[in-house]
Amino acid sequence: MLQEQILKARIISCVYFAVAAALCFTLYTDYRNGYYDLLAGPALLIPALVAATIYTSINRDTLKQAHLDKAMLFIAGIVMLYHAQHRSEWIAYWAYVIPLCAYYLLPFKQANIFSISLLSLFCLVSFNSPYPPSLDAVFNFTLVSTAAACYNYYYDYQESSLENLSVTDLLTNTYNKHYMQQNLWQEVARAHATSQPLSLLAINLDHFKQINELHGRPTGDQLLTSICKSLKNMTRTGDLLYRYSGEHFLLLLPNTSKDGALVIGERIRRNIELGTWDAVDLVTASLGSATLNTKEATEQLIERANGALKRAKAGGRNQLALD
Amino acid sequence: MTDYQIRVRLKIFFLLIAALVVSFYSYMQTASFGWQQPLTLSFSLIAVLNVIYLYFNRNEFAYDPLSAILLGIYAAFALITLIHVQSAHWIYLVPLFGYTALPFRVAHYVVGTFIVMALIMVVRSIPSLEQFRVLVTFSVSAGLALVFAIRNEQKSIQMDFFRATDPLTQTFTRRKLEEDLTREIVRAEREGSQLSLILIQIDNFRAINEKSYEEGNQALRDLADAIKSSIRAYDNYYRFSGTGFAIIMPVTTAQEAEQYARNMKKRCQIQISLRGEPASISQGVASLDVGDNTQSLIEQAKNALSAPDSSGPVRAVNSLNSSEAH
Repeated sequence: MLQEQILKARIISCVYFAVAAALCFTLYTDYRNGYYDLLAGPALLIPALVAATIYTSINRDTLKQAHLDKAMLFIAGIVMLYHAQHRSEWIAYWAYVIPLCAYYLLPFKQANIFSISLLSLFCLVSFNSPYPPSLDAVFNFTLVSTAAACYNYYYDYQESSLENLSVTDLLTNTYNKHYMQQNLWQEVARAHATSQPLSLLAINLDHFKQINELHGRPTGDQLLTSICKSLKNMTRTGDLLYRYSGEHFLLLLPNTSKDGALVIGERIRRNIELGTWDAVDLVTASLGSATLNTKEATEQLIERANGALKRAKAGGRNQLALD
Repeated sequence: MTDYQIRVRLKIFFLLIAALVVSFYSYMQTASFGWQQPLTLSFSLIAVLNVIYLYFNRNEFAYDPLSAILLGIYAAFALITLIHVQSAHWIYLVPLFGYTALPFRVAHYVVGTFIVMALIMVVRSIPSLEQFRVLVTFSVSAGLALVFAIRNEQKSIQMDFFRATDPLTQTFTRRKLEEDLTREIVRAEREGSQLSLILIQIDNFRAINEKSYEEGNQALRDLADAIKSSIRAYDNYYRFSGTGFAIIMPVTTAQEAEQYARNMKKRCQIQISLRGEPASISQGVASLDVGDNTQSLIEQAKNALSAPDSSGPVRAVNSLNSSEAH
């Protein structure tokens, strides 16, 4: 990811430089051929592009150029509209670079807004210009921006689904242990900083090994899946459910005091006990609850929740133990 | 939604817009260039056909030969219109289009060839004042198209691990089947060994699924389990279609594969029937013969699966009759 960003910064500074060089050449030829009304655009763009090239190549490893890219696209859009007003037949040669660059430089939504507004302004301007409107250019502009949009939509989709998949446990659709490593630590730090309560529930299904042996692994897997589905319905939006191992889950309750955790834990226990899970008649769960103390480390919190769970198991299962 | 489904929907979206724009363009140009009509009209027509074809195959993987034809028509159109200076801009879309219509590696060659041809045309037929603008814009658009394509390809490679497994049955997918089968065929040819492919499916899957959706899923999981426990350590199995699996058996003759298939069938029927509905299983076996490739081998196994009574080509295809369990 970082590698990608750094490569992107290099590509962008190359593109800026290439466009600046190309514009120098067009400025020269336009001047020689007497198109004085076209000189304003390159004259505005060249210094901006040179400055952008220098800026991006200096900051090529620090990833802070989003605003610069926006400004450059904005200027390029204005120059394009100016051209469309004055020589609409010439715009057909180069206007398409702008939406392509926009989709490369900006996040997907912003690029969409930019290119759609540019397209509509382009339509307006080229119909109102004194020269005959070049509908071809508008058509091709639409096609090119649509293609770029499709590419980037697909890219965004892949990126987000990759992110989702890498933090999800595929069987139960809960967060995996890997994600817990970073997320739980973050939440604990946040609770310490804001001095708000935070509770952790350790949930373990009773006699799961026997269920597996009696009904077969597939049934056990299915049971886990359906229990996790209903666990998610029982909890609030901000609560995070991690699969710790096998049938052992951790439920993180941000901003929840000891009493709140007790209520939620008891509700979960009752719901699992009273719920109907196909194939298996009676499923119960033992729960252990721990609430974060001041200046307590994350490992300690997990340990206390698991310790409480152990006492619940020792006390006859199907119960909630508080630490 | 799977990766393929997203891609198909995007393609449909793009082709609809392209068909709309091109037919509008063709309508506007009626008076001036008469010779462009056949190209633009056939483009729109094929684009619409392609959209219909893709719409019906939007959930299961299907080859899409029409979009390569579309690309060809569009590239020809763009090259021909290069003669007129005003319409030089149609070439910019070709690299972007090429990377969507063709597989990544093939697209490199096709787009590269097109770029060379377009450059020659631009240098020959466009006056120098406009030439420079066209060249710069073309190179920037081709470069960015390449960047977009590489970016997507890299993400695809990262996604491969997740995409190669079917979430329901935790088996490899059909995409992986084709990759592996291609590799195994090359290897079998090099080693001079045999290679067999077994397709196995639940015939009455629809009936089971209609009873309850969960039961249908369970039947598939059971089938996967039965296959997993009856294959050898070096065999691999894949989710082949909605109702069935494929098994690649390296170093196995047709007769041996048939024997394995018979044994497997019993085990699968028992495993599925244990839970409820008796399942009727049918199988198709195909063995590698001289001149076979991935597609033809799969095709042969499919034929054996769908027509249990026909004996097929000699020794290459054997089929096992489907029968009810009870």
